[in-house]
Amino acid sequence: MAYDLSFAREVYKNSEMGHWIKMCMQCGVCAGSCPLGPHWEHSPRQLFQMVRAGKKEEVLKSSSMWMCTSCYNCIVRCPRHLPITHIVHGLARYAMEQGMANPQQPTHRFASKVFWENIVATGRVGEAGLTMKLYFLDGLGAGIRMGLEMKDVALGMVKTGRLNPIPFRGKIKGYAGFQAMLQKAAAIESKHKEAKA
Amino acid sequence: MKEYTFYPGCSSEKGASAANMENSVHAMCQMLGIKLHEIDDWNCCSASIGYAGGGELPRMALSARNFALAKKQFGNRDLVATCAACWLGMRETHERLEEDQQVKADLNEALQAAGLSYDGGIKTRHMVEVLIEDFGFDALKAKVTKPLTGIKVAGYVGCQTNRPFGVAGDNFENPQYLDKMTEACGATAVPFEKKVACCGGALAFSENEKSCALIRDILQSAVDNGADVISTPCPVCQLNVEVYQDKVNKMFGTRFRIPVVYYSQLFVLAWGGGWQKAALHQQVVPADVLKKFA
Amino acid sequence: MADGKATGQTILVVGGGLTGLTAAVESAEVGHHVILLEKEPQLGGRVSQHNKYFPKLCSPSCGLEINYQRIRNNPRITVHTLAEVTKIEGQAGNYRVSVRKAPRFVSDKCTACGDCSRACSTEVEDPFNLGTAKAKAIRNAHAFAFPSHYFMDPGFAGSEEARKLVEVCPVGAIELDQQAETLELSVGSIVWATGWKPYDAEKIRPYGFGRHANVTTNMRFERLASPFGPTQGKLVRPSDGKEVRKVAFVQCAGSRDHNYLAFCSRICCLASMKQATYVREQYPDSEVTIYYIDLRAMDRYEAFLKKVEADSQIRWTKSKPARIDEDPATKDPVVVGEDTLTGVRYAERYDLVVLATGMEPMSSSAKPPADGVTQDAYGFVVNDGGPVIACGCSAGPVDVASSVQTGTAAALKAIQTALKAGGR
Repeated sequence: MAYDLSFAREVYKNSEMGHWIKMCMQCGVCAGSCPLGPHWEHSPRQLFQMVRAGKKEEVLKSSSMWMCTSCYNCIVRCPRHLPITHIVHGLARYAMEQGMANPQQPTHRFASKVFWENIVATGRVGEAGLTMKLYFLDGLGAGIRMGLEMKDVALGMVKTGRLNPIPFRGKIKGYAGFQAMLQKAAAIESKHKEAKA
Repeated sequence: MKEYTFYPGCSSEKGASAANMENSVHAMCQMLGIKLHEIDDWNCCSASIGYAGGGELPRMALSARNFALAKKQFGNRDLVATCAACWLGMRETHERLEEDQQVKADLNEALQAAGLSYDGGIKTRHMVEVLIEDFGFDALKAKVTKPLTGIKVAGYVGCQTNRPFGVAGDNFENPQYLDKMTEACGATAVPFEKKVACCGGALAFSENEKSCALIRDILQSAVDNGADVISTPCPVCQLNVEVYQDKVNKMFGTRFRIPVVYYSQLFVLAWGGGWQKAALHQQVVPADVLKKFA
Repeated sequence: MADGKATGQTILVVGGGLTGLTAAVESAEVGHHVILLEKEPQLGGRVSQHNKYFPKLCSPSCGLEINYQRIRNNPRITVHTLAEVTKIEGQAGNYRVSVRKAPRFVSDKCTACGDCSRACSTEVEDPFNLGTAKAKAIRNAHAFAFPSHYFMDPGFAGSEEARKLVEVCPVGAIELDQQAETLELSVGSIVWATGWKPYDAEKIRPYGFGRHANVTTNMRFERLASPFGPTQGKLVRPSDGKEVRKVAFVQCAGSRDHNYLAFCSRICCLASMKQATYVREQYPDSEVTIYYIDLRAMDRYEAFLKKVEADSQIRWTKSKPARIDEDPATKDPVVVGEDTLTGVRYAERYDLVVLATGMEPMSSSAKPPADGVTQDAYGFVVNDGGPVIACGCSAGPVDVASSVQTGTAAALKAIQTALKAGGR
């Protein structure tokens, strides 16, 4: 069987820091250095080998990339200095762009739906709104249940002045320009990817 | 008086989760003779999970806009952040923008849409770097009027002030700076195996139970080493390790109740600033063990 | 020992390990005057610290004793121990070399009877045993050391007890008033054979060496296995003296790693295989696991790999472990990582873990003190016509057999240099 390098080439070009995957020597230190290591469907090392073996579906549908807590332990322990955290973030993003990320994956939902939309809505994160939106993603009932479960945490924070109970805050002053900037940045990024493809 | 451009970040806004850090940092800076000039109309840095929704360039554009505003308002003065994720995100963008002409050009093209531009030149720093490099441990120690004698502190450095950039050239596996800060306050730094372990970060939201298992290990290590309080420079660490203690106790049948404070709160207290200035009234797990120094 | 007369054709050999010994005797045996310097009190270097060494798994006394005999029989070799080069000036054929010689506090009248050591009650750190045991403050490094005269720990020399020991010596060899001296040598060429030191395993913090009682290193394990070592060769673990029945070897501990030593030391895979046989031969019911990235049995050593592979009690796990934890109750080390052939995340408990640490060149910290010496990124000396001729592990990580070969090659180069440039 011949190697099919098309997916690997795709990742090297279009996934952030993807070209570094070539440098992996398959030692396995990343897997054991990760705080959520045991919960990964595939370790970073496995993902990288799967990229090289052309397993596009398995890689991009894997829940693994979404287990990254951004602790950067894999980066500092990698004997070859691969920017593993960034590569994994890149693969997660690429899975989204390819429409292959599991929409029910909790961190995927939180990071891409709730968190980013929260930033884009006003220019800054509003923590109360962020939390509420996350809790109510699965509907009113689930939201109330989560809210009740977390009510002691929330109450403690409200009482100490660390959670604003009224989940509304205005937009930054330069919001129009801010929005235009993000749109422009996204457009430039897609243009680059098309040029490379 | 030393002056810096200041980026507080979303969790340091009024009524946000790190309000205790924000308040104590301002008190600390005032006592130390630091003037912070907050960037007017700053935006979110994208934090550690902005990569998913934002991708590469929009994510970096967030920091680029803050740099552009900083330069316009305060020139090339050093830009200081207090939040680990803000500092990390800004520093990453700073390095890529300074090293890669294409990134710089792309970001400027995006900034143009907001009527802004940025040609580089601002150094991005963490507040603890300012304390260590611009003042030094001896100067921090010299200001102590109420040494926190007898208080045992587990210095929880966590991830993002430590990796991948590190503070003050410290060792990633066993950084010393936080323990040195503890000692400068007159308190005792205890050994702490989980010093650089992860608390789950932003995944405390999306994978709460997995994160709680990590938090349990951190709390256990602090308690096993006899710590009275945990101290940290990171707002995500502080929040996760403090507010989920009840949940951890329910999940694992433990009985943790240990205060988690910021380094800045310990300095303000040890320098005689008192309870309110140190924002110690804003702890969810009360730091009663520190009351006698107020 | 020798007339010690230095001429333009005298060859200076720096380092008295097997490489330097080889260069010295090979040069002297074709008629050259040789000055051999060693910074330790006795010759033999790293080889002398081994239990057995490749290629034939000899005891170190075997190969070393032959060379000591050649030195004893050759009047053209002058040996200075406790000697370090501080300055090299001049050019090929005419170097002026300054050497600092530390006091030994025991003269060559010493007959190695051992009375002083038996009478001495003070114990000090023992570099020969690499921290696995203490030693008497006046001693011989080991039973077959050469020169066989005893030496005294410099920190002990000023003590009350040292003064009492002067009276104990039946031949009056203890001289507490010895001072450091500086030698000025004039030589035709310089062989640099300062060898290597074990990489500092404490720097590999995730592996817990120095904090976890039962995590040791390959060189310490050699001392443990040696009949002349701290346990007379009984393989027991440091925390409780328990016999080691389940042992792990971690390959590339701090090697091939940009965070530590970026290169492969070439010898550690075979060293661990050899040490696995120590365990298996001493305890027939023992189990050994070797964790590796890939196995490197260099040169002719494939046969040894095959032999070790035939033992079903030796298991191989393809993985660079991420960390080693310690069970606080039992002090058992627990090796954590990912088996890269199966993808399984493991956490495996052992009696003892041996870190296969690599070779750091001595010359990375103790650089040849001369202008014009080229060193590579790791501190090995590059042979590019500079003032010193590097061989053995000064020039690169090599096994003992290759060290001897490069020592011989360096001798030839040194002879040529001395003859051509200084040639009279």
